[in-house]
Amino acid sequence: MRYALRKVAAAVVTLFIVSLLTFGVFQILPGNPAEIMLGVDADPLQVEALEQKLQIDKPMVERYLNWVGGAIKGDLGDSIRYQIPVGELLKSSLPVTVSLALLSILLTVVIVVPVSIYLVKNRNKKSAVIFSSLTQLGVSLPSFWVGILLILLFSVTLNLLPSGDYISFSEDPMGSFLSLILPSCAIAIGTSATVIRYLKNTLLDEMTQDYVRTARSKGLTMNQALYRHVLKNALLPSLTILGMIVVDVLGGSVIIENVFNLPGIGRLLTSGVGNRDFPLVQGIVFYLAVTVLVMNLVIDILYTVVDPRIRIEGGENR
Amino acid sequence: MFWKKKKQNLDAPKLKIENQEKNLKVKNLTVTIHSRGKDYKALSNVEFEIHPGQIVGLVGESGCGKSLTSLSVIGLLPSAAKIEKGQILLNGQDLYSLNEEQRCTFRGAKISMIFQDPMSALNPLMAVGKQISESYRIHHKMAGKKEAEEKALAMMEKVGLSRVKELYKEYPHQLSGGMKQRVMIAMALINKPDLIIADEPTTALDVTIQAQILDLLKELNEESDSMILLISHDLGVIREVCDQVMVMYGGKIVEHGDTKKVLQEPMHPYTKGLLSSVPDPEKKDEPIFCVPGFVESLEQRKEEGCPFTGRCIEVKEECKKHCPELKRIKDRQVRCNLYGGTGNE
Repeated sequence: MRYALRKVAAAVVTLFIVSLLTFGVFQILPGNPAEIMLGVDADPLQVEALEQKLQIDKPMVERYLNWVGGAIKGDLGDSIRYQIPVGELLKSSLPVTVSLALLSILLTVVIVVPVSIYLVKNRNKKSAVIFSSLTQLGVSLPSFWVGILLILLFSVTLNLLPSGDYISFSEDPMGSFLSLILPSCAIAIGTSATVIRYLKNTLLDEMTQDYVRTARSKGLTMNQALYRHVLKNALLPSLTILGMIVVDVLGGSVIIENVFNLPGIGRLLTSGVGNRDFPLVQGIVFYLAVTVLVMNLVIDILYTVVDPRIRIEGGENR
Repeated sequence: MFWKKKKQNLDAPKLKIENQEKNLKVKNLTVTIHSRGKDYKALSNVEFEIHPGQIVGLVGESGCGKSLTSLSVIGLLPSAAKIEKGQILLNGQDLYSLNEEQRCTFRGAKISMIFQDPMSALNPLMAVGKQISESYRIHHKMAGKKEAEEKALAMMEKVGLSRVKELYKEYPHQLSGGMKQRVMIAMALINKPDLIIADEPTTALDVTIQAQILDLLKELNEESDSMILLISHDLGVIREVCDQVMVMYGGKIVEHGDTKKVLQEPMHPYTKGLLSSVPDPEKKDEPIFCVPGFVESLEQRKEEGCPFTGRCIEVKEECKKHCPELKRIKDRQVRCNLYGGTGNE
């Protein structure tokens, strides 16, 4: 119980610091939303009137406290640019980003596990050496470039898949899936390459452990030992990496969403920053912070499920 | 790659089943280790036999080839090591004429192994009971989960574990070192193997637990008439349980004979040195004797001459040039120029 309390307290402190930082950064950024909305040549009186209307003429501390007060009650304020509650904007962008994230993570896992196993099993063969160097390439390819190449090949040349635009799941499940394939692939190629390099090395490490020799001495073939004993042990450290990637993708891939014209969190963030839309950006950053915290918690819980050693330590803590 | 099927062995002879005589014969075993582009002889002409009911000890300093010998027998040599020549015959079947698949049917069923460090030798993410029953199921393909579990529970009781039902579901980190080693033994014995290789089974354990584990091994050996190859650097352990002892130095067996006789009246200078290195409580004011120098690394080892030349206090000129064969002298076999025997038996 104390363990859980400590976690929650740490989360609250983190959120507080994050909100302070975003607020601080916004004070330093030049330009104000009223000027941007009205244009450079606008009448100063008009600007002042709009500033009053948007309540950005009030002192810094008051504005910050107002925002915090609202956030505690679950109200993230209204977007300056769109004039609707930030919560609603998030709600409409979230499904796009979440489905993109889910699909790309699923793709990553589906690619990573078999490929890593293949690389480890055939590590002395030429094909595996070539593949290993390809993962280096995968890590260094920028995702927007991969995205553009994918569009060129599958949409423009082969005309197989849509090049962008989001179709919501409730509208047309199949169409929604198809519209997300290319962007998910663009993301998954980079992430898989990273995780493959990592998982391959952990697998090779685990392979030299004593328990593998024990398993072999029982009469298991190398493959049986690999699947029954090594894989689970090797996946454990990769969980952390995968968690970080999930957070990254859930945060909205600004670039990929722009390349494929998807109205997700990333697009919302770019527009928020461009318009100096403080409540919107603050709301998105708040969402990102919560995502990170929740994901870390999920990873922690997953660890205790997979690793009995952590289960016991947690039990003693309670 | 050490698990890769040996292609050249695919058309291996069928397993000989008709030969009912149980024994282990290691003949002329020579193993090389590949390191930095060169092959080094790690074991040369190792030769011994074990018969049912016997516990044979293999003793020597670290790096002398004890573990390499045991790994050769069970067929789990590291990828850098290669059997250059020689034969390992279990019940008349040459293990290295088999392909990898056939060898897997021997491993765990006919030959099993107990490792030195039970802390790392068990899979930390698998319940210990499951690790034991896995050993059974892999060799009894028809056996169901239930049957394997029952066998495992019975075996766990036999090796002296209590409250086995709960233990079955526990994980290695929840067990003490001694319990883990008992789990290892249960795992090794569940298929009633003909040969058990125990590689320093008590080194990682407390002294009190050591005695229990050794007694257990001895008891199980008497009961099942199996063969045990016990590897240790601890002469006390060897004295306690072994019928015969082989002393190894520099990849060669230098003395082999009845445990009592060898330990009472060692003949090879290395055996003498080992024995006088054991601290004696009655001479506690004197400094502890130790064999001068240290084991030469594989790269430093010379091809000719006796490997012990550099450290031997009774060294003769001819030792540098010529290493004798293992010769039968009186009640044992010795490999030393000090004794002019009648050749290899």
